[in-house]
Amino acid sequence: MPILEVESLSKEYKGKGKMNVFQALNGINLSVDSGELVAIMGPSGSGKTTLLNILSGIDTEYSGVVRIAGTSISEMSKNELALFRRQRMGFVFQDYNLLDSLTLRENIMVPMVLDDQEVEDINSRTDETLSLFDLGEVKDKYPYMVSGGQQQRAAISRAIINGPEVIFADEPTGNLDSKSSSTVMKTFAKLNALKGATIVMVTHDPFAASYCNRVLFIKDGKMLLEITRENKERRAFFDRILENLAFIGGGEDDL
Amino acid sequence: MTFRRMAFQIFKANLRRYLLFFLCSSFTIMVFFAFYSLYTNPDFNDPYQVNGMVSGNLYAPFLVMRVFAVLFIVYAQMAFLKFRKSDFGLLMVLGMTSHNIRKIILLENSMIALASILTGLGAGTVFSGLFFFIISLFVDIGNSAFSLTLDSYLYTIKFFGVIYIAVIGIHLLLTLRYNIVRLLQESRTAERSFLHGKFTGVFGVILLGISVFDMIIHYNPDDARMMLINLGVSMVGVYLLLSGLCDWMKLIFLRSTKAYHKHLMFSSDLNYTLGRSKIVLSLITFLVFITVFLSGIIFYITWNAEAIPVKNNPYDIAYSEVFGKNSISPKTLSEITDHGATPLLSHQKLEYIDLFNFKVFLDQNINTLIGSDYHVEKDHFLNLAIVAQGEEWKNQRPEMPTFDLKLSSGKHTLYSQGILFNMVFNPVPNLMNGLHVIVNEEDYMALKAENKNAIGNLQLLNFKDWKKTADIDAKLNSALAKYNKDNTESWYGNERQEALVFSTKSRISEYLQLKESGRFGIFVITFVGLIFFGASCIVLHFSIQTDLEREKIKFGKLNKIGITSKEVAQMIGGPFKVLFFLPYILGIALATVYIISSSRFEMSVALGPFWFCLLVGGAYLLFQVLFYYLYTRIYTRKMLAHIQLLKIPLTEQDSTPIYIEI
Ligand SMILES: Nc1ncnc2c1ncn2[C@@H]1O[C@H](COP(=O)(O)OP(=O)(O)O)[C@@H](O)[C@H]1O
Ligand SMILES: [Mg+2]
Repeated sequence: MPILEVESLSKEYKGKGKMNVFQALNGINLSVDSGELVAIMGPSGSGKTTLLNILSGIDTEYSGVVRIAGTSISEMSKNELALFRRQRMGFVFQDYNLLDSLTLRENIMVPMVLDDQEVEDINSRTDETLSLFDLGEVKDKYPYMVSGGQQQRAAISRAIINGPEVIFADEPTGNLDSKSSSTVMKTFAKLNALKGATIVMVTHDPFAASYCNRVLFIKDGKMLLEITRENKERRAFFDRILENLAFIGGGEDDL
Repeated sequence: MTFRRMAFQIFKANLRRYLLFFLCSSFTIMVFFAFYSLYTNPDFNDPYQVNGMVSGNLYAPFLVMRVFAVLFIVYAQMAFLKFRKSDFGLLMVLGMTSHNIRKIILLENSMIALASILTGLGAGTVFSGLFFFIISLFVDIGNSAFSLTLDSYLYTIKFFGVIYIAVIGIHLLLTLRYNIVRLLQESRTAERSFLHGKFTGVFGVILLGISVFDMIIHYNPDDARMMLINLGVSMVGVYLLLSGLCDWMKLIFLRSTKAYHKHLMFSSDLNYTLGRSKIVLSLITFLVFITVFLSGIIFYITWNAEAIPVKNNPYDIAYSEVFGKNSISPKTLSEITDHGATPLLSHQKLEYIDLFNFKVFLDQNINTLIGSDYHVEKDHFLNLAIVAQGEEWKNQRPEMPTFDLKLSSGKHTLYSQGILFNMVFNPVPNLMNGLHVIVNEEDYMALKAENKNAIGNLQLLNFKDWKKTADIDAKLNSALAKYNKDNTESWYGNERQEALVFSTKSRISEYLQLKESGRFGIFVITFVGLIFFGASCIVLHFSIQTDLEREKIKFGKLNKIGITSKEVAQMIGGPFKVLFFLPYILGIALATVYIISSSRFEMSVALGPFWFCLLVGGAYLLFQVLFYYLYTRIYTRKMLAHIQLLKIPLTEQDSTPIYIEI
């Protein structure tokens, strides 16, 4: 059953002049099933972030249809979208997007606190995720006191705290060294395997993408092709991803 | 690119910030200059031109103005440099040495200081003329003319020059501590000053208590130093209280997990806001406190203008005939009193002997006049203190132990039988330049026989309605002045001084003076209050602006998690409420406590000023509520616009604008 459906999605950025229109997305069709772990790859400037921002309702100016769990988000007001995003989606960002004035633990509980949920629920869920991501030791530290990997794991904890139907991640490993990066990817894989979480992730990193079941390639705002892992080893899938990147061009040298 | 060119580029890029800072500084200097030139205007301070009660009303506001100017300039400078700190961090990353940074600071700030002083003086020259004109509409300033003295310019330049040199010097010293990491991190980390913790707050409260206690014990309206010291102590107290407040709040929130969660954002924001704005909040508390305190008192005095002249003058009009002065004929007198707006009810007299330093009265005469039964024993005398004030004044008037009667038969020493506090008659000017003694009949007669030409007669007139005696009083005074001019030799060789000394002392003239000085006082304090209100708005704005980037980033982040516009408004409003109202409430409360304690908790005395304090405080609070709504609305709108416009925030890191063209 598809949890996310996108039909002929297009997006234009208007510049200052009349003629100055930039087509960032050009008729994207996409469907993601519940429980999938999907990676979106493509060269810099191909529109990945733009796509993710639209899917998650941060950007509301586009043409086409986006449905999440059967609900068309194009028909929602900005405030409805904000609530929808907070309660039913999770979002992980390259720059972690943690609030500097809160500890990691407090950052994780923000979505639940904003929703005014029961104290017991908040505490138990927060502690549960903290231990799931191995953050027990640093939970009372502020973001600027801990490593990037720990910050990103806290950000992922926050993304899943409300039990979202789908998690979006925009280059979640982009700022991390390879060790932290593989910990984060293992976390996603674990989430996907254990909890059946649906995850849509943008990445530059073929190694990170190799953890997924399916990889979509976009270029110049168009969906180019997709490959699926099926029952291949991760190593073999990694090689396939590299092949396709070479075919598309502008992949690795663009990091 | 040369260093000079780079500094200029930076200057250009920051023009808006510079402009606000520059405007604030020049405005302060302008107002200061206007105050100072009025304060030192020779005409305005001439008691013959402008009633001393009026010009005296400038003292306290100007004192406060000076304190304010120092605090405000120091604060504005600090806020401004804080804006620049992250720039400096960036510049240091780009390879600028701290020596270069110091050069920039010195260059920028001395340029602004110089420009502010020049602009302030220029605008002040115009503004002080306007200020003087407006004042002339409110009060009778006689023939005083507007004039500017070189001294006003020099003093203003000296005053602000010293402040600027001190502030810039301190900042240059502080740059020695600059390092790149700290400068860049400053924007991310909540400031943790060394003054924090629960104990700090308690200590602050104790200091406040001490200053209030000292006010109760040692209050004396003439002792400005004691007031200033207490003011200083209570401001330090407020600062410490605010420093400790966040820790107390945290403690309270932590006691209940529910409250902790509910106020998670609020408490962390507040923690940051309070931590960073302690100085601002203390400054505003100080401004509010001063304004409310002074205007409470002035409004009260003006409102109470009828009671004071009645208390100070037992008779409606009084004057004294002595040494041939003021001896207008009964006919002249009755011509004036019979044709007034209100009928004369009684005309009493009190005889005395004027020995210049001593005015000697006979006990019988006083008894006849006021119906008392004082009796002075042989070889004794009574000290008479003509005071209307309450108990607390009594110990300020010492008792003279002996009084020597100098008679032709020799010196005869009388011993004090005590001191009498009684407002027996109006404090007529030529009767008040000496001590008053009451003697018995024998001594009085002996003295009288040898001082025939020093016998004075106090004329005490009562009318049906003293408030209608303005015309009578004026006519009487001109008749007295005319008589003295025509029939006696001038004592002082100065007509105005002569008229002042031998004039009447009446309820109505004191009433009119009080009203006039009250009007002036209200004008000045309202003016100062408005300036302070404006200043507090600007200070708040500065303080909020310093944090704007950080808040934008925060709301950008929250927006990505998902936040509704209502929640944004709530999140902005929470800490803003504290920022906007905490100092107002603190200041008003403090002013009220000061007013009550300066009356020593005599509720009957305190209640009037107390209500006025609350009234003025309430008015200011109302203004502040308006300002809060306006500001919060605009701010929230801008913030919402900012986060909605933020379409591609994810990969593009919030970049600091780099304005260096290479
Ligand atoms: N706010 C914007 N206004 C105009 N053009 C933009 C804006 N944001 C992104 N773009 C352009 O849209 C294209 C896609 O950007 P983006 O989605 O960020 O690419 P990616 O994340 O794949 O690197 C880029 O060419 C970029 O320059
Ligand atoms: Mg991107």
